[in-house]
Amino acid sequence: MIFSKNATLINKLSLVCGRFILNSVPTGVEVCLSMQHGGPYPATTDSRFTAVGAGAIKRFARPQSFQNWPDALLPEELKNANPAGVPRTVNNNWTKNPL
Amino acid sequence: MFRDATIEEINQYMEAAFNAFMVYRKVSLKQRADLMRAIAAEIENLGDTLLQTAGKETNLPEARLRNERGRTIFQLQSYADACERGDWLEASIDTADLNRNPPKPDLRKMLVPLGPVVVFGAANFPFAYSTAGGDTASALAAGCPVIVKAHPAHPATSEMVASAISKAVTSCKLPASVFTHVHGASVEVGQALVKHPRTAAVGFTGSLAGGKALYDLAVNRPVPIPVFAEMSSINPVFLLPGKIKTSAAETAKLYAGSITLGAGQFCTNPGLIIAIDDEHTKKFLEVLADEIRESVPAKMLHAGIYRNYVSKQEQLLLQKGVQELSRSTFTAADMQGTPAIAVSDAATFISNPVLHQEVFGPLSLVILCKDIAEMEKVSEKAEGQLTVTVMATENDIQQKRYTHQ
Repeated sequence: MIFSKNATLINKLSLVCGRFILNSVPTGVEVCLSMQHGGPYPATTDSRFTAVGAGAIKRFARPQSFQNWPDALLPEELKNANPAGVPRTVNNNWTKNPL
Repeated sequence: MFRDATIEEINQYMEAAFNAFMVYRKVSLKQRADLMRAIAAEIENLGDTLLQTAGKETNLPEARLRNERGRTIFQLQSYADACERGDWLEASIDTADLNRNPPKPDLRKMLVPLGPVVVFGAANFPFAYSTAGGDTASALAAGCPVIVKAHPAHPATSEMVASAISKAVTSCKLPASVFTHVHGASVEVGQALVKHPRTAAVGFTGSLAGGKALYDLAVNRPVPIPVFAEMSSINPVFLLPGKIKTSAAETAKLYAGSITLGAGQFCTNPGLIIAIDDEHTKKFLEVLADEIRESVPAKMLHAGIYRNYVSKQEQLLLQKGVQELSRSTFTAADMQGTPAIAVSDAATFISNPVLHQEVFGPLSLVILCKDIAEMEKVSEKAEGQLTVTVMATENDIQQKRYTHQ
C-alpha cells in the first residue's frame, strides 16, 4: 500500500473540486481540452461537464444510437467510409479507418 | 436605449430558432467550424471600437479587454478545430453478426445536438463568457442554434458582438435564426426564454441566486431541460506547514497578486486561505498584509457588484471571531473595491456559515488551524468548488510505502 503524508486531507479535498492545483494559483484558466472548469454544486449545477475547453461542446449534445440503418441514410460520421474522418470505436477498437 | 424583448417576440424567435435547428443540425462539422471561424474574423473586424464600447460599460482597462478579446477569438477558433476533429462525438460502431444466436444488430452511436440553447452572458467577462463566448461557441459547435440574452451591464457591447455573429451567419449562407440576440433587463425575459417549450438547454454564468433560480425553473417545466450554470466558488487554498516554513514571503506575494487580480472579479479568485497557526504563518500574514496595504483599488464592473462587495465585506468583518488583518491604504474612489484580508480561526469557521459564502471581489479570509486534524475539519465544511489548491513541499505530501506485517 502507498500512503502519502497528509493523505486524508488531500483525499477529502479531492472530493469537492473540479480542478485540483498544487503550488500555483487558481486565477488563470487555460483554454484547452484538459481544463476542467466546473465542479460539484454550488460551483456548477452539473459537475460532469466543463465550461472551458472544447470538452464544453458535449454539454449541448446527447447520445443517439442508430440501429439497422442503411449506409446512405446514416449521419456522415457513422457511414462505413468515414467521409468526415472522425475517430471511432469500431467493434471496440479506436480507428479513423473506413469499415 | 435597448428595449426588452416582449413575450410575443420571444415566442416568434424561439419558433424561428427551432426551424433553423432543423437545418443547422444537418450541416457538416466543417460548415459549423467555418461559421465559428467567420464569427472570430468578424469580431476582429470590429476593431478598437469594440474595446472602447466595452471599456465604457464595464470599467475594465483596455489591456485586459484586448486580452479577453484575444481569448474569445482563440476559443472560437480552437473549438472550431475540435468540432472538425470530431473526437467529442464519441462515435462508435458495432457491426452486425447475423450468425450469432440471437442475431446481433448493426448499432452505431454518436452525440447529436440538443436543440436551441439559451445563453445568459456573464457580467465579469463581456467577451469571453458573453455573447460570442464559451457557451455560444460550444453550442454552435454541437449543432445548436443560440439565443443570447444580453447582460444588462454591457448591452451595447453585446449588440456589437451580436451583429458580428449575424454577419458571419449570413456570409456562411445559414438560416439567420441560427443566432438570435435579445435584451432583457427584467427577469421576465430570462424566465420566458427558459420556460419556452422550444428551448432545449441553458448556459449561465453568474451568481448562485441567479443560477439556482433558473435551474429550479428549468427542472419544474412540464418538460425539464438541462441548465449548465457556473455560479459560486471560493476556491480554498491550503497552506501545508513545510511549504510555509520554506517560502512564507514568496507565497504571500504570489497570493496577494492572485487575490487582487482583476479587482478579484474572477470565478477562480482565491477567497479562502487555510493555514496552521505557527510562527511561519505569522510571517506569511505579515507579508500578505503589507502587500494588500500597498495594492491599488480598481474600479469594479458595475454598481451592483460594487455595492454587493462592500456589504458582503462589512457583513464578514462584523462576524464574531473575524478580524481585519489589513486593507489597502489608498482611498477608494468611485466604485473602486478596496482589497482586504480578514482572519479567523477554525472553530469560528466551522460554526458560522456566513464565513463559507463567496465575497465577490478582492478579499480573502484566512483561517488559522491548530493542526492538520483541524484543517481536515475545515475542509469538510467546504462546499463544491471550481478549484482547490494545495501549497506543499514534496515532504508535505510525499508518498511513503508501508508494508503490512
